[in-house]
Amino acid sequence: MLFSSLIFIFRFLIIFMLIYFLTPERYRNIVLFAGSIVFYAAGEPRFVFIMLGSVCLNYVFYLLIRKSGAGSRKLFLILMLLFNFALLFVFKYWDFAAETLTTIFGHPLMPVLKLVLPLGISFYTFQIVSLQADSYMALQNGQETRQISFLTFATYIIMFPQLVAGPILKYDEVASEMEHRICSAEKAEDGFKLFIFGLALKVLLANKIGTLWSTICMAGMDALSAPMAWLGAFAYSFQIYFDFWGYSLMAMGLGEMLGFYFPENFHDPYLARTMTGFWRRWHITLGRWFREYVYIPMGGSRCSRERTFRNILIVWALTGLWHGASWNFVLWGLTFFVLISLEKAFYGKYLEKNAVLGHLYMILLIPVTWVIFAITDFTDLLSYLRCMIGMPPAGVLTGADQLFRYLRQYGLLLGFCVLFSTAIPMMLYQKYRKHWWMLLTLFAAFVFSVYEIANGSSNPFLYFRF
Amino acid sequence: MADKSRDKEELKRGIRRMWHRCPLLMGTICIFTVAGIMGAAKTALTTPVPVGKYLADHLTSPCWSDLTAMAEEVPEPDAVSADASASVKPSKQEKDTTGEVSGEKNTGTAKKTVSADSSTALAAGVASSDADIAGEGDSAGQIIGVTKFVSYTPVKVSSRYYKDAGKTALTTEYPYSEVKADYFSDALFIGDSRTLGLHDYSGWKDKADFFCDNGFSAYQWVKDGKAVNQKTGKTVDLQSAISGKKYGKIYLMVGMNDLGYGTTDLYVSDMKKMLAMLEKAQPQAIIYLMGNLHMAASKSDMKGVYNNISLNAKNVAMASLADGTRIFYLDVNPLFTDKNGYLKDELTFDGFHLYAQGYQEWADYIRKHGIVR
Repeated sequence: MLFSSLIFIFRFLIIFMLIYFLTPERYRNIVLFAGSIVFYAAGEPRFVFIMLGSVCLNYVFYLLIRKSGAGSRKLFLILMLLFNFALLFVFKYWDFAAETLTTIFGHPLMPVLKLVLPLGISFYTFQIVSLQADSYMALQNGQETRQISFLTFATYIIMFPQLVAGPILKYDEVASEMEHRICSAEKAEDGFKLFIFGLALKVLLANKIGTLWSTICMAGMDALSAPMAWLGAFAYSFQIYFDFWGYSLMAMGLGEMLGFYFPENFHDPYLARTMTGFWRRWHITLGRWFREYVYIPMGGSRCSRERTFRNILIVWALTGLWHGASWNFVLWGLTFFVLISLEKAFYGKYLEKNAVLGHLYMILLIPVTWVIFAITDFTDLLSYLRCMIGMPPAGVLTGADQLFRYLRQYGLLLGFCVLFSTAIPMMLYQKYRKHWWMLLTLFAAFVFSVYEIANGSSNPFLYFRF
Repeated sequence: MADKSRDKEELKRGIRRMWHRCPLLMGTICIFTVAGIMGAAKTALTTPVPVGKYLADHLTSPCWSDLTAMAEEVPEPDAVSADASASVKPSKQEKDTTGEVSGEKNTGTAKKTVSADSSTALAAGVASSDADIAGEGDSAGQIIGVTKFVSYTPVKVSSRYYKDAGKTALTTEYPYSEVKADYFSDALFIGDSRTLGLHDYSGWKDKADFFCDNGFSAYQWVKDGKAVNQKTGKTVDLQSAISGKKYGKIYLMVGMNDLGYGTTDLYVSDMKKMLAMLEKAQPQAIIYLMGNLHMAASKSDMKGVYNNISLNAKNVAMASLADGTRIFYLDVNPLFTDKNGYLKDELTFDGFHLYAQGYQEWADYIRKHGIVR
């Protein structure tokens, strides 16, 4: 189920919330668990079993790690990691690996399985591993932690607000709330408001500017004028930001309605002045995961220069790969590796100090990185990049005429996109959340969003590959 | 008694407290509940048919689910289809391309239906079609174009919105001429986003008049009569907009967006209304009906109404309106589709629209099929 669908908002959410609020507190985890299964099964009935199987087996590992002595503890940790990443590999990366080997060696070494990716597997796998790793490290440090019951464990992993598209939680953040949380009318109201904010970002901004991107792609990526190619790149940059940010806000809002406080996943990333800064504001929980469970265990920056270099490279390659089973994603990740290394070594400080230069630098580079992310096929990607520098492979077929038409059609929307890329809307929202005119605006946004969804307008789900 | 009134007071105070604590939530719930009740009441009061049956029909209508599940004109990027298409197995479209011409053809003046026996039909079809083309004409000595159909084994379709037509229409056979760009200076193009593609890439945008936009459908036109004039970008009433200038030729391609609106019969009746309007406003113009471009395999969904069987049924119905004297049928699908009738994947980004170069090829085809009188 999509959060931005009528069946979720007007069927599932209403019925679930009713049951949840009427249930006495000590049974709420059961309700949440059951509801999340219904939520997942509605979208992907077959894969519910894979998800539940993974949760059960992981709980067994959790207990084994807790109960065993120092020696076998590490063994179980490794087994747990192998199991989880093997599952992820099979479903997400098997065909990618098969095709890569075929390209290298000329003939197929692995069969192509064409498995469908279970929804959210990247997210819940990472969340499970985070919990297991935290538990292990606490034990290694001799800290006493309460044992988590199976119900709490399972509910934590599969609860529907964050199951499909994050944020990737750390158990410590919600540990007390898992056991005991307060649900109140005020929290429900605040959560609902945040949900509307996220819904409007997705439906009224992301979906609509996304149609500009797809319209430009439809014309063909080998014959665009440079302004047209850049317009498309900006359109996609806005689409993916508002889509992902909107979804994260919806998750936060839903979590708040249930009594949880989720961490924020996006903090005005397009206001950053360097790529380093950007990645501290974009998909914050993912960056945190890679830092805590890959970078730091490998030594982080507390080792020799070569090692640090290697660590950063591995983290970025993996970050790229996590986003999709295709080489353009690895290229995307490595692009950030290069840029961030250059910033660290040479000019990062100057960009941070100089707002104009910093923003210009980001405005030029971010759309290019998103183009690498958006286009999977290398020939197409190369064509598009050539269009961006004014050397389209097939000459210019889509140029000035269409450009003016699109600017006319999408100009106002682009203005709103720029506005919502600044800190202003969120600031206004936080400050005037309870004022009557803000309530009216949010209500209007909600009605408008529902209207757009009902009209059957384009409502893509960008996270199918996660 | 005192308890009851105290309970009522408690309830009222409780509700007021709720309004104070979560006004937006309360407000939204109230307004939507009221709106829902009003909508349901309106439906119940205005339905001539027994409400139960109406609701049953309405709730199980695939149209509704198609509208919410499918973007009609501006499709989603591959995101959605990659997730869903794995489970949708498109049915193979049997197209017998060995050239077995069905006996049924459309000559406009007299409908000749040949017997069902395939061999005699084939012979009769071939023989009489030669005669038609070789110059047997009406009293004015004009050659009549013949629109032929190629039949294939139809598949069983459970939809109430369309049936498998069991045949595909071919471009009207006629001695066309290859024309130059000037031919289009008195041309009128009406259609949806594919016609918009022609506008962008044919090179005729300054010569011909284009009334087209994403989402245009015969159904919508019948309701509001509007179309977008691409020269000005403004939405206008189509009939008045074309009443001034005299056009020599009108190219009409509508239907893809009608898939979601109703049955093939409804489409035909809408098309007839459109043609009647065009013939009245522009009696001198030749009308070229263009067959709707098929969709790619990734977008063809046999569970709903967005698939090539449904689209082909509309194209066949459209082709049957061609009379060979004033109305002709042009079909470019053979240029862009594979042997199963799907739009080739390498020619499209989204499964519905061609790349720019494709429209240039399309324009070429139109140029090679001009009628000069």
